[in-house]
Amino acid sequence: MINKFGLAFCLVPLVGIAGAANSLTYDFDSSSSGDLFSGNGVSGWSQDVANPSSFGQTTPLAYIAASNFGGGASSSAHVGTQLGNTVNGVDTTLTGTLTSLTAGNGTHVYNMVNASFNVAVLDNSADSFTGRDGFSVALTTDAGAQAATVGFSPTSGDNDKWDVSVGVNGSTSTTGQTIDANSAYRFYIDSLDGATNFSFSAADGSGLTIGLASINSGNASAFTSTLNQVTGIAFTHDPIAADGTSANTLAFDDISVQIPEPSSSLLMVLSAGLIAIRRRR
Amino acid sequence: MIAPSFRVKALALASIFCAASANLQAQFIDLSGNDVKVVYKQIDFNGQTVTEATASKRTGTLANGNVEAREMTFKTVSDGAGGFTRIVVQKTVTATLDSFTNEWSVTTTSNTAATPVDSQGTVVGGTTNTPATPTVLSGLEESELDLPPTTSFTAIDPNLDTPVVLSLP
Repeated sequence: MINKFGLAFCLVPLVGIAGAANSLTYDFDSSSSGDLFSGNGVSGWSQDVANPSSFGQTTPLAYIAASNFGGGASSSAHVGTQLGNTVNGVDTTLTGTLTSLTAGNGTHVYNMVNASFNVAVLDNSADSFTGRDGFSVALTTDAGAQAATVGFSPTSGDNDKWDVSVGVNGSTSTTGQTIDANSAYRFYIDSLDGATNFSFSAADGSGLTIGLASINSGNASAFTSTLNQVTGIAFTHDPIAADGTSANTLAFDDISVQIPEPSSSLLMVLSAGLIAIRRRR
Repeated sequence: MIAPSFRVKALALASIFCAASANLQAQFIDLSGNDVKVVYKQIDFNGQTVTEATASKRTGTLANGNVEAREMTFKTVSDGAGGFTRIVVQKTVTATLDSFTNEWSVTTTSNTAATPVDSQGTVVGGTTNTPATPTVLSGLEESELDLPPTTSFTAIDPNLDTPVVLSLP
């Protein structure tokens, strides 16, 4: 028989885990439509290329505009070629800093990351811009390495769909799943040590959450060390189409990233061990 | 008596020349409505590889027999003497259908504004405007109009669709 004191002793650390989770969200609600990401215009975010200028004004490659992912219209981020474009196929990447997420010991070293975000590819297939581009979302390190990536590339033969690919350590593979243009999705990346699970659902939570892939890289792989150094979440527009021939944009919102503290993880393991010991007795 | 087609052309030309003035340059195509994409491309300009920005917009429709297509381009080129010149070209193509002959007439006008700038794009001299001689083509079929392509678009509805996510079969 387990006495009440012993049970409580085992459960307290478990309860503490939820409270100790280190999390960060970006919902862009403090920004206004028309705000630009360049020049640190959106708190916590950076843009890697300058916006082009002409006719006495700036052409934004990334900006804040209203979108309704299912919970009501609100400010959301946009990156792409709706209003302008880079030349010579130069990517545009927006990176949200995750450096405020620490593992409890003041470092950015951890073995577990849970990330989710709303995303939609905006494109009018009936307009005169028939080109279509690729987009990606990645957990990135300071060195620019991609620990985990979700990619979207135009579906061949269907102008209203984008293929979904996922992967770790900078390489991705197609999943067979597609997303529809102008539709609101939520994607999930859950990594623990060398294992990463990718899944997605409708952004409003309706319907099913479908697994995309489970990738096991092994604890000793390069992936583990890359995951340990994640300091940002990057949303990239990859201009596949010829310069100026596309007008498509990736809209994203409600980004959530959680990193349980290692100390809590250790306590969880310790607690599980104590419960097992008590049960044996 | 002044023929209706002549009045249309005269009005079109008058509006074009007004728009070509430097003071109205910013309003030639209104970009503030976020319904016109600015297309950036690299081009060869007299042996120089430069980035040219193009914006264009149409008003009217072929169906109602009157279309005005406006196009403006913007580029900064080296002047060969250590400085730079900003070149803005504004072109207006007006196509009008003669309801009696069922033929189109097309009037094209343009103005080139050249302004000395420094390497940062700051204006360092006066603007020189060079209007091109208007051209008028008559007796055209609709397929011969050759209007500039539009870079305007209809914004996507911010209320996104709710997808049905299913497992792969």
